[in-house]
Amino acid sequence: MRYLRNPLCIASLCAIATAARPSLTEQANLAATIGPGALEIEPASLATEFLPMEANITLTGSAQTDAITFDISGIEINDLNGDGLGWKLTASPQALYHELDGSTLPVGTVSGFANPSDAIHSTIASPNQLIYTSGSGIAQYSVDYRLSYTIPITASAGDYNGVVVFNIVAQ
Amino acid sequence: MTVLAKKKGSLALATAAAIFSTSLSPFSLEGTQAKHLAGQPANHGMDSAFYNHLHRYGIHLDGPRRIRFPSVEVSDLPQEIYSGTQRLVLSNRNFKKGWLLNARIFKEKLFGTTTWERIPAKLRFESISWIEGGSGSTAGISIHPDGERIEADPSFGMGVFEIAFEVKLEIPPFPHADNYYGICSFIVQ
Repeated sequence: MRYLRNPLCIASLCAIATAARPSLTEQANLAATIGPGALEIEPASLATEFLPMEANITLTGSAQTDAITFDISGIEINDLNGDGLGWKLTASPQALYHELDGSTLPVGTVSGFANPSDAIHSTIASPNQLIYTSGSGIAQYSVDYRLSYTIPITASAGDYNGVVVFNIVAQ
Repeated sequence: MTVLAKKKGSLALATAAAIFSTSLSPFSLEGTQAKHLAGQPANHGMDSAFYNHLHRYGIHLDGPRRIRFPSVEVSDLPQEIYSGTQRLVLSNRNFKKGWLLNARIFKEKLFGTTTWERIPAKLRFESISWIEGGSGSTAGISIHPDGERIEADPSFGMGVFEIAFEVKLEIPPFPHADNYYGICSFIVQ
């Protein structure tokens, strides 16, 4: 089997073949597009409702710093955008608000991101910002996030809800 | 009186995902590598003397000028995409000493126009069928097991034949999003 290593070989072969017998070259241009996939926070990893780590939370008549803590574990990232760049994940925690009277519990200590599955390429720039430096792409990257809320002395009893917005962008 | 009450806290989380695409301009390798591949200008790679020589023997090869693959997205898994069956017509008026048809993809790869990432590509001849002239069959013509060449034995291979082939791209996990181009050359000798 002739194995043509490079264009020069092909050209040489053409020349040799020309002297020996009729020869002909036909060409076709090949074209393909690989489109970007998603750079995303896997929705399923944040689809559940997160409950505080403390089983019983009570009003005491005084302020309770960091009395309510949420541990959001297993936030999953898929980087399939194929841009050869890393990405930046940010968190924006918002206060818990009372379902009925609208009073709020302010954000306390934010431990932030922790336990990235690829620690070598991960930099936790601040509690609310994680930078992934590899541009090779990755699937099912996971990281945890923890934050606490403070109960003011004037807090109302009742159910509270809150939101942490996570945002991911390419570097 | 101290009010004791259980507090139920919960968090609903929102996600925001950013999807990025590449902005690319078309680019063809034809003006550079193609010239080397053929050793000749673009007009079927032949100069006038060479063309006259071929014309006398009456061997002609005609195929698709452009093969476009189905688009795919970046994945974390290897992907294979196929061009689908393509057609090449070889007509041999009266050259009786047999012929050999080779197919080569430049460097056996397609090249990303902005990233220069390379995607391995393979061509395989699938079949050859007689259309008209000659002995009325494909007798004496064989496709080699590797699928990369077709050979007609001496005194065979005259007439018009349709050759089916397919090109396969072997896309690795996490490729760069890009437009990829390459050159496929068919050489009859």
